[in-house]
Amino acid sequence: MKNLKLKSARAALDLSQQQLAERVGVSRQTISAIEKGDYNPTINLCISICKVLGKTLDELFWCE
Amino acid sequence: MGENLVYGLGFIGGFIFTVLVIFIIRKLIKNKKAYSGCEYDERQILARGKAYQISFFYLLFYIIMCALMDIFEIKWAVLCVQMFIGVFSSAIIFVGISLYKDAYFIDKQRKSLFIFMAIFFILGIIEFVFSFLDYSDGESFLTAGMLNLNCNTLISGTFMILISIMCFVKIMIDRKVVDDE
Repeated sequence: MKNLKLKSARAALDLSQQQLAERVGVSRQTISAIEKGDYNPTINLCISICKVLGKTLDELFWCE
Repeated sequence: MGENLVYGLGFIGGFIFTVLVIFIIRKLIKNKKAYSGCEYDERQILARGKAYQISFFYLLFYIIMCALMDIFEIKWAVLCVQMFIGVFSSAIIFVGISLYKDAYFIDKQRKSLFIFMAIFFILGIIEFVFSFLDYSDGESFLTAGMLNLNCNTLISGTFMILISIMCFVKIMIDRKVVDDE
């Protein structure tokens, strides 16, 4: 399932996948895979992404 | 027997040389601290594990199939060639999955992928040329209907060309993905 919340939060900060990847400390492909729903990140990576984007885990990764 | 001995010594020599070259390169890279920008993330490590797993089970299946064919007396290649094909093909599967899943190369290392593609292509062509020269010298790839040691060069050349094709396909896919994003 695509993670559109992450994509929109990233876009809201005007960050490219590459920029977000560099700030989080992963590869661009990993961010791309998370957004596409091809990869489920560990909780540590989720927290790192949330910190960079200034969002909570619920806001970015909770499925309703 | 003499020719086989030379072949075996050549293989061992080549293997030791390759291990030494890789060891020296790794040492040089580590000394330059070039690894700082190339650390692998959790997804890449997971992808690598998957690639190892699939190629391992493929190799297991391949060896069982070879053993079964031997039991049923289906002779298609000498033992050495059977093993080389197994090793090469499982390596190809590992490389293919690793490339497709970006287990090793990230965007910063795209140039390396080009270099790998070129190196494998050139090596593959060299192996094809040597194989063709052997063939034109009258050496056959078959002995009593079985693939013999002479075809090893042709087989490894084919696998190297396949790796370079996979690198090329990956470069094309990545270019399209980056354009789309």
